[in-house]
Amino acid sequence: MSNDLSNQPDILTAAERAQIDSSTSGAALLFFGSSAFWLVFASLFDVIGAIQLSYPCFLDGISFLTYGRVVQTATTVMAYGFATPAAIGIAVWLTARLCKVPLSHHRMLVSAGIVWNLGILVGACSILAGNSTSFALLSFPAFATPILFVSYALIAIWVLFTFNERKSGGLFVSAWFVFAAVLAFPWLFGTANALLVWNPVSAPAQPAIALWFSSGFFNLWLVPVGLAAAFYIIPKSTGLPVASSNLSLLGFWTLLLFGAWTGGAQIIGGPVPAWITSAGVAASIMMIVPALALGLNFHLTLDGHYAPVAWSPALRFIVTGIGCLVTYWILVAINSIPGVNAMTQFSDINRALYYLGHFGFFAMTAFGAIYYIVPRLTGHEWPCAKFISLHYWLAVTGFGFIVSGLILGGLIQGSALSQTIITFRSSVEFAWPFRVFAMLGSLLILASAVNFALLLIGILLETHKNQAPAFMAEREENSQEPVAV
Amino acid sequence: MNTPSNDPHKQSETPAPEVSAPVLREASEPTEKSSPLPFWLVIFAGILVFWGGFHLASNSGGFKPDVYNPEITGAAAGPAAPPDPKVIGKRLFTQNCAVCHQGSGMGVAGQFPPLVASEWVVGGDWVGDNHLVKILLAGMQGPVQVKGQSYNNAMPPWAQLKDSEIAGILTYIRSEWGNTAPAITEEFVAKVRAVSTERKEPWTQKDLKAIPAETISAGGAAAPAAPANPAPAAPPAA
Repeated sequence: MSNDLSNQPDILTAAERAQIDSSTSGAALLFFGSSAFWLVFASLFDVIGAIQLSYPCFLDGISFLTYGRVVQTATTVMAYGFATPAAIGIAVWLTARLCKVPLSHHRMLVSAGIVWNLGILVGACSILAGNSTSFALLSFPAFATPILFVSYALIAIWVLFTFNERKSGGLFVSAWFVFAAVLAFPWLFGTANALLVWNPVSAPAQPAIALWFSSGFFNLWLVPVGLAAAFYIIPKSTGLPVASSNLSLLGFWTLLLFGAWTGGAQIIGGPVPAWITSAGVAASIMMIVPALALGLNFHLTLDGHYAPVAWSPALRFIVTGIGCLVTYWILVAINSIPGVNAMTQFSDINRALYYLGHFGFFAMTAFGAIYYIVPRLTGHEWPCAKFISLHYWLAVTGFGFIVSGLILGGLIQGSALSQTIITFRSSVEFAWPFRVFAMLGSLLILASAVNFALLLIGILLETHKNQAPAFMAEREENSQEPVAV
Repeated sequence: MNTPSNDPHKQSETPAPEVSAPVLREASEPTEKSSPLPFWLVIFAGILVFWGGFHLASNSGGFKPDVYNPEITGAAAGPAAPPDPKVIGKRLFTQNCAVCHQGSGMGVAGQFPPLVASEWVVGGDWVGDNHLVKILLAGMQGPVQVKGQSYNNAMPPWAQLKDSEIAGILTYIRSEWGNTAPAITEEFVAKVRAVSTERKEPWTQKDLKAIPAETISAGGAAAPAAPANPAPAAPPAA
C-alpha cells in the first residue's frame, strides 16, 4: 500500500496488481469453485468409507457404494478434484503476480478448467462403476487420464508462457517453487500412468513406481505449490521480508532432491531390490532437512509478529498448514526407521500420515491462500468472519481427531500384529475404537467442507454487502501490526 | 478508484480496472533478506547426510538388482530357516484348542479333558503317539478316561490342518505346562494320516484301544540325525 506511487520498475502499483488479477480471475475462480465442490463430494465419500470401516453393514448391498470403491473415490477425487485444481488456481494467480505481467490467453484456461472437471466426473463415475486401477492416487482408469492430460497441457503451456514473458528482476522464492511444481506434475503423472495404467510394466516393478508417484505427487506437486503460496502470502500480508534466502535455497533443493524417493521406505521387506527401500529410508531421514530449513525460515520471518495470526484467516490457515508439514516430514522420517517400521508398516499409521499431509498441510494452506486471493479477484470482502472461524475449528478438530486416533490406534494395532501370540482378528478389534474416533473426525471434515463451500458461494454471489475486511478475532484500531487480511 | 500515478506501465491498451479495497491495502511485493544459515542446522544436516549415506551403503546389498535382503547374500542366500514348530503350535493352539482345553491346558471338569500330564498326550498305559495324531485327524467323541477321571463331550476333526501344523500343535502341548514328551515330527503325522484315511467319523476310546500303540521315541524318530552309533568308530579303536 505504501508503494502505490513507486516508480521503480520491479514494484507493482495497485492498479497494475488489479489489472494482473483481472486476467487470472476467471480461471482461478473456476478452479477454486470446482475444487470446493469436489472437496464436499470427496469428504462425503470419506465419511461413508470411515463408517463402513467400523460398521461394515453400512449401505450393504449397493454395489457402487462398496468399501473399496468408496475409499478409492474419496482419495482420488480429493487429489484430482480438490487438491490439484486448488493448486492450479494458486499457481496461475501466483505466476501472474510474480512475473508482474497479465496472464496470456486466460480464456484458454477457463476452457481447460471445464475439460478438467469433465475428466474428474468421468473418472469418479468409472471408479464407482468398478473400473478403478489398484494403485493409490492413480485409480482413474486408462480412458479418464488422457482428458486430464489434455486439460493440464492447455493450462501449463500458458503458465510457462507467462513465465517467459516476465519482467526483468530476480525471481522471488515462490516463483522457483511454482515453476518446479508445474514441471514436476506432468512428469510424475505421465510416467506413472504410462508405466502402470496404459502399458503396465512387469508386476515386481509396479509397487516401487506407484510409491515413487504417490510420494512425488505430494512432495513435488502439492508441497511446492503450498509453499509458494506461503512464501508469497506471509510477507505480502504482513509487510515483513522473508527471513533468509539461504534457508529457502536449502529447503528448495533438498525437497527436490529427496522428495520423490521417500516412498521406498513404505515397502521395507517387500519384493523389491534392497537398494530401493534403503534409498527410501535415507531420503525419508533427509526430509528432516527441508522440514527444519523451511519451518525455521517461516518462524524467523514471523518471529515477534505472530499477532496477526489471530485475526487474519490467510495467516491462521497457512501457519497451521506449515506446522502440519514440518510434523508430517518428521513423522515420515521416524516411521521409516526400519526398527519402527517393522511395527507400524501395516497399521493405520500410514493412513494418519496421509491425512496429516494432504489435509493438515495442503488443504489448510490452500484454504489460507484462497481466503487471501479470492477477495482480490472478486473485489469484495468475505461475507462472514464468524463462518471462517467456524471453518477453521471444524477443520482443525476434524483432522486432529483423525490423525491422533489413527496414530494411537495404529501403534496398538501394529504392536498386536507383530506378536505371533495375538491373532489377526484381535489386532483389528484393538484398532476399532480408534477408528470410530477417526470417523467422527471425518464427519467434522465434511462439515468444514460444506462450510467452506457456502462461504465461497457467498462471496461469489455477493450475498452480504460486507465492506470491512473479515477479521477472525478483534483487532485493535490503532494496532502497530499490519492488517494482514 | 484509480490511484494517481505517473507510472509508465499503466499506459497499456486495456483500461486499468477498478482497484478494490483488498488490492489497495496490500503491502508491497515480498522481498528476501540474506542471512547465513544457522551453524547448528549445517552441522545437523551434515550428520543426517552421513547417517543416510551410511544406511544406504550398508543396507543396499551392493546395489545389485537381484539382492532383496542384504542380510542373506551370495552362498548364504537360500530358503529361509523353517519356523520353530512350537511357535506355530502355540498360535494354532490359542486360536483353535484353548476354547475347550483352556490356555492353561487344564480342560473343563467332566467335559474337556486336561492336557497337562495326561497319558493321552505324553503317552503311557496302552496309549501311543499314533493315537494322539489320529484323534487330531478325525476328532473324538463319547466317554473317555483321563488320569482316572471320566469326561464326555465331542472334539471336532482337524484334518484340514497341514501335517506341519498338526505336528506343531502336538509338539507344543507335549512340551508346555511341565510336559516333557519328545516332539512329534511332520513325517510321523504324514505316516499316521496315510494309514487312517478311511476313518471319517470321530474316534471313540474303544476303537482306539483296538489299535496297537506306536511311539516316536527320542532316539528313534530323531534318528536320521543320529547315525553316530559306535559301530563305525570301533574298527580304528581295535
